[in-house]
Amino acid sequence: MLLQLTVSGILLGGIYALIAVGLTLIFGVMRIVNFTHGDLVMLGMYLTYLLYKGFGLDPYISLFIVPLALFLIGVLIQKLVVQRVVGRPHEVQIFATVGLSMMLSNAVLAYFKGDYRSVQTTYSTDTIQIGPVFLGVPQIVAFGISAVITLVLFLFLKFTYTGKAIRATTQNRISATLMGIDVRRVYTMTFAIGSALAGIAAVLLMPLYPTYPSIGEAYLLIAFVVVVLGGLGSIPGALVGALIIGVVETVSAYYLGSGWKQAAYFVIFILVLIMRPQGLFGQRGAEQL
Amino acid sequence: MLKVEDLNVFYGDIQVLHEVSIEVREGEIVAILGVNAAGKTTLLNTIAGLTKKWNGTMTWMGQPLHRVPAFRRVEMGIVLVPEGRQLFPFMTVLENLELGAYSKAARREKERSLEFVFQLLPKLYERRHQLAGSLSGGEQQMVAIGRGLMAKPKLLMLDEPTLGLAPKIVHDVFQLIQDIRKSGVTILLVEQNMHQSLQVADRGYVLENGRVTISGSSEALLRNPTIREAYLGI
Ligand SMILES: Nc1ncnc2c1ncn2[C@@H]1O[C@H](COP(=O)(O)OP(=O)(O)OP(=O)(O)O)[C@@H](O)[C@H]1O
Ligand SMILES: [Mg+2]
Repeated sequence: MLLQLTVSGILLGGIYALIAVGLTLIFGVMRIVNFTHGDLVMLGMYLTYLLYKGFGLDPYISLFIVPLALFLIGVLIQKLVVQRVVGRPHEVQIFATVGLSMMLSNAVLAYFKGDYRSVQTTYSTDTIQIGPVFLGVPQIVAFGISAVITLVLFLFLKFTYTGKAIRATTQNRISATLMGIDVRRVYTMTFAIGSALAGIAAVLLMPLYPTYPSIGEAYLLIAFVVVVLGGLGSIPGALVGALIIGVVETVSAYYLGSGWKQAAYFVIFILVLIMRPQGLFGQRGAEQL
Repeated sequence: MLKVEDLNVFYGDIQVLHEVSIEVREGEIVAILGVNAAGKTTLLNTIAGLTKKWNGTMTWMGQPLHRVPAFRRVEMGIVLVPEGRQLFPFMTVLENLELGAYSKAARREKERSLEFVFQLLPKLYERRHQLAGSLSGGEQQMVAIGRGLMAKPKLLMLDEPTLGLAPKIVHDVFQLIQDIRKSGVTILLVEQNMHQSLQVADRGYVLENGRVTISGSSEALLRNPTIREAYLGI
């Protein structure tokens, strides 16, 4: 059973990695904690739902639409709200992004009401057996896509000019400017990419779980725990952290009941803060990668 | 090529530069000299576009720089190698150099510039795959200068490139500065090391408490009795 739970947890962790990597990337570049990050996932899930309800689009087809939409929403949020609070005191940043988060979830609540919405696909409950382990098809697909996207992101950051500009800005904002990098544009790109990653995660989650207006809080909490566990601003840390949290979630939900999984995150959160405050991969804050 | 007139610069309400006027002509090495807190870094940062609150006029090849953001000045050929090197510590030497050639025009010349930099600074070639943060102070300074050259500068501004370096390395840096000028790059050099700076510079300005107090050719400055007494200790 433990093997079954561990493997399911790792598959789930793959999706969490997409969410957490976006959050950590945005933090690394802009030094801002994006409290709207969970709501971006929520918006992505509702969009996937709407495309399914309105046009009968399979979620995996929405994979080509929703992340793009989230990218544009990310650009808007960056230009209208986040850009104005970059470099300002923490309280100001928190007020701005928490306020926007409340606005988004309440707007969705007003429109869709509080009901759970889900997407039923023919493959939602399909499983395949590998040795002693049974795995859901959507879980496997989600993990596979997450892995590919993560790899693409890594190559993008490592080899493209925009990717290098993002890393340079993370490591030294003034020097980046002195290289001729338009740091403002880097901020916008970073926020938009983080949002698109949340959108991909949202599409992958939709065949697995229903959505509701305040679901963003749950994913924000998970992403926070992952990012603190892995080390603020560290992308490898976020990947490893996400897999660990995925396993913690499935194991604790099975043995303690699903109501306890959030308690399990917090135990981990506190343990990390006590034993290794910089996180597993953290190095002096967030200058890595 | 660069003309700064009656420049006043402020940090909040505090004014740190007062009516500073300097000029740099093509092909020159011009030195800005002065003790700590005189305002040398502030002057270079303002020319690079990094300070927010300033007035006066700055023109580059006849064009006003008023509304030009810092990253565009790099494209125009105004490149600053900042005080304290400010490398990207978690990138390799090669990645640091390549980022120097980020702006559009420099990108096209990247391979050639790399060759030029490695020829000028062979040590960097040996260290190209090492993380910049793990280099010695002198090597880091070489990377910072190399990174600046990768941008294909017309004017290269160096802010205290010899700070904290051993005398032998200081000598190498001054040699390097002359080599760079020979390659056709104009240089604006900020230094506290007055004697050696005036050996390589054509002209110099002395900044004191945010004002230019003395200026002239290097020979004149080296003969100037005030300078001999206050700065050269002769
Ligand atoms: N970001 C800043 N905010 C407020 N004051 C500043 C700032 N940067 C510099 N100053 C002040 O402006 C004055 C000039 O500083 P600047 O760094 O330009 O001097 P400097 O000649 O480069 O000195 P050094 O030789 O020590 O590098 C100093 O009094 C300094 O305290
Ligand atoms: Mg200085």
